[in-house]
Amino acid sequence: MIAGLIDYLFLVIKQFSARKMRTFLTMLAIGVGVGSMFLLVSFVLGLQDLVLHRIAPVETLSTADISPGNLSYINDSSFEQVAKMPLVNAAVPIIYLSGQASDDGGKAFADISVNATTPDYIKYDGIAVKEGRNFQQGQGECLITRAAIQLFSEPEMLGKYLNIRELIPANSNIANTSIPRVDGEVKVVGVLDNDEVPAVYIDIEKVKNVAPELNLSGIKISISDVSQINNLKEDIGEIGFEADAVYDMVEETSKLFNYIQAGFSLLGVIGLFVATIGMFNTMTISLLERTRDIGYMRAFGVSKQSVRSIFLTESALIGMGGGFLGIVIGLIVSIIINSSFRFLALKVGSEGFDLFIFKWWIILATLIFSILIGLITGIYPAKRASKISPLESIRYE
Amino acid sequence: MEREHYIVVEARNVTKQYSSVSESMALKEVTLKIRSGEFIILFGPSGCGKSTLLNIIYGLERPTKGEVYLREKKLFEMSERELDEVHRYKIGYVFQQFSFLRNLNVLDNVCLPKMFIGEPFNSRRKRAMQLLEELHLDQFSRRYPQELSGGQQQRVALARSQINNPRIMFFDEPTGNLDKKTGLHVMNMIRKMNRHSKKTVVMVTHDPSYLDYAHRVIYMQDGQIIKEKNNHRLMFLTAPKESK
Ligand SMILES: Nc1ncnc2c1ncn2[C@@H]1O[C@H](COP(=O)(O)OP(=O)(O)O)[C@@H](O)[C@H]1O
Ligand SMILES: [Mg+2]
Repeated sequence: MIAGLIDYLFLVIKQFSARKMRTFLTMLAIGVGVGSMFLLVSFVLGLQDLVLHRIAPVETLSTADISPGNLSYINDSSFEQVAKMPLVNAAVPIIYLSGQASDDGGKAFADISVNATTPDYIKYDGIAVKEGRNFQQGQGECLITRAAIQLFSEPEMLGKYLNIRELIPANSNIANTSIPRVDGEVKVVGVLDNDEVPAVYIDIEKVKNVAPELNLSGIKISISDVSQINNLKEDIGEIGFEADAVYDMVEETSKLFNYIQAGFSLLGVIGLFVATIGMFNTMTISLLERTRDIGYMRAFGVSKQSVRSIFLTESALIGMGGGFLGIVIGLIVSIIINSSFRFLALKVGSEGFDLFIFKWWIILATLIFSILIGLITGIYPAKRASKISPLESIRYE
Repeated sequence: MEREHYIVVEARNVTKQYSSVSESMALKEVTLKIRSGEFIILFGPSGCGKSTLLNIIYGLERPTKGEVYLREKKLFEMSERELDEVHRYKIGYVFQQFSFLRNLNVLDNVCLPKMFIGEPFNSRRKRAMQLLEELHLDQFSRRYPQELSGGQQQRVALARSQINNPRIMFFDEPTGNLDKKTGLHVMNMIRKMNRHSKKTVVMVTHDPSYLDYAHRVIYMQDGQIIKEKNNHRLMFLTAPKESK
């Protein structure tokens, strides 16, 4: 096979140039099939990207939230236990409280959620600091959500002081101890992108200072290797806690997309199947046309394997040509759609995104796939060609 | 001396029946021994079985009964690969009819028996060009065979049969489609091949004009050999020594 490869290519290219139109049309049919499959796959990738990356930012993918189980409490020693687990990169404590807050004017106190935690929490939770910056430890600083701003009289809260009082635990798991009055002022240094929940994020030290025995509501952890998430969950389950990983949700969604992708690919396969029948037809015509040629080749000592290889080379090349055309068609169509989509999005003033996403592996896979289709389609005609007897050429003229 | 003339091809009691229904046989119990260096003509009327015999001793067609030997080996016990090699390297065959690949030019058609075996393009094309020059066909090398005249096509087929320099040459009606002058030219080339290159030649014809080119004429009729005639004037036994 290898020794004769250049000759197979030579002969096949001669054949193609003698039948340019037919070769091109056959490749085009394959190209349309392959191209639509290419489009479907990149469309699904586009959707997947939209859902996974825009809805769940990358940093949060490797995090999990640990909450106490039914009858357990997260105290400081169990926090240490979790923090020391091998897969845990970082552990951030959080205590959910509720209380009342008022701004400088002190006119009205509004009910508000108070989350006592460390600055890292904001990073791992993936909430964006829209204005200002993250709070720092030990500085008496806080963050508030956009929803909370509406509770106060002034629209601009950055740099203002909030008065917080009457903190009580938000859930019973942490209420092992009563909280003394924590009255005090905190300075607003950042606004969080959240329009639903009116909440402030304060330094956990502030609460711990007055109530050191208070249990934690939860721990947010960052995981070094998400693929081992299930082991980690078991370890956490053993000490009586529960862990919810963002990754689980993502994995579920990914699975869903795999199904959609498979479904779409199936549609593409049907298109390809039709194209393959066309190609099979071309190969058969080509075989019939060349019966005499093959007979003569065989009469001059060209082996059956060589005859088979010629046909396989021909069909593989048709497949490859079809693959190239398919990629070109797919790229052109998706670039047109992507850019018109972006243009439209710009016009209505929203942020655009790509409907079709290209990955190198799709292009490579498309090419390999179409060569394979070509080869498979060629198997039968090649086999028939190799069985042609020289006598068929020589006897009947 | 004896080695020079040992038997290269032998048909033993070869019978060929194309259809089991019909009584008629294309060949009946044909026995034929061809010695190295001989020029043999199989002569007989159309349909008497000459081509069938040639195709059987070339290994393309299987006899219904009987054996064919190439040197000491049974032709029909060879593996496919061995038989391919016989056709590529050992026996050159010039068919009666147009036998070229239409998509390839003359040069590449001449190269055909050197294709698919890993032989570099340039070296085989050089050799083909040499052969075409010898036959004064070099100016046609880039043309397609179907564009040439019958005599030119016959010479291209001759060049192709020579590219691997086989020791045995078969010709089926080489002058069949040619006018007298071109036919004579081709016959002289075949004779030259036999005399100067010492190739064994087996030629099939129904035309009596060229019978005295052969050392031995085999007369055939209705699938049988009816008579054999040695051409004493040519003195086959000394001929190979004479030249060169
Ligand atoms: N493939 C075939 N099938 C049936 N009959 C055949 C076939 N080939 C040749 N014949 C018959 O065998 C006989 C000998 O044919 P052939 O060898 O071609 O004769 P020649 O070459 O002497 O003209 C003829 O009667 C012919 O019709
Ligand atoms: Mg004949």
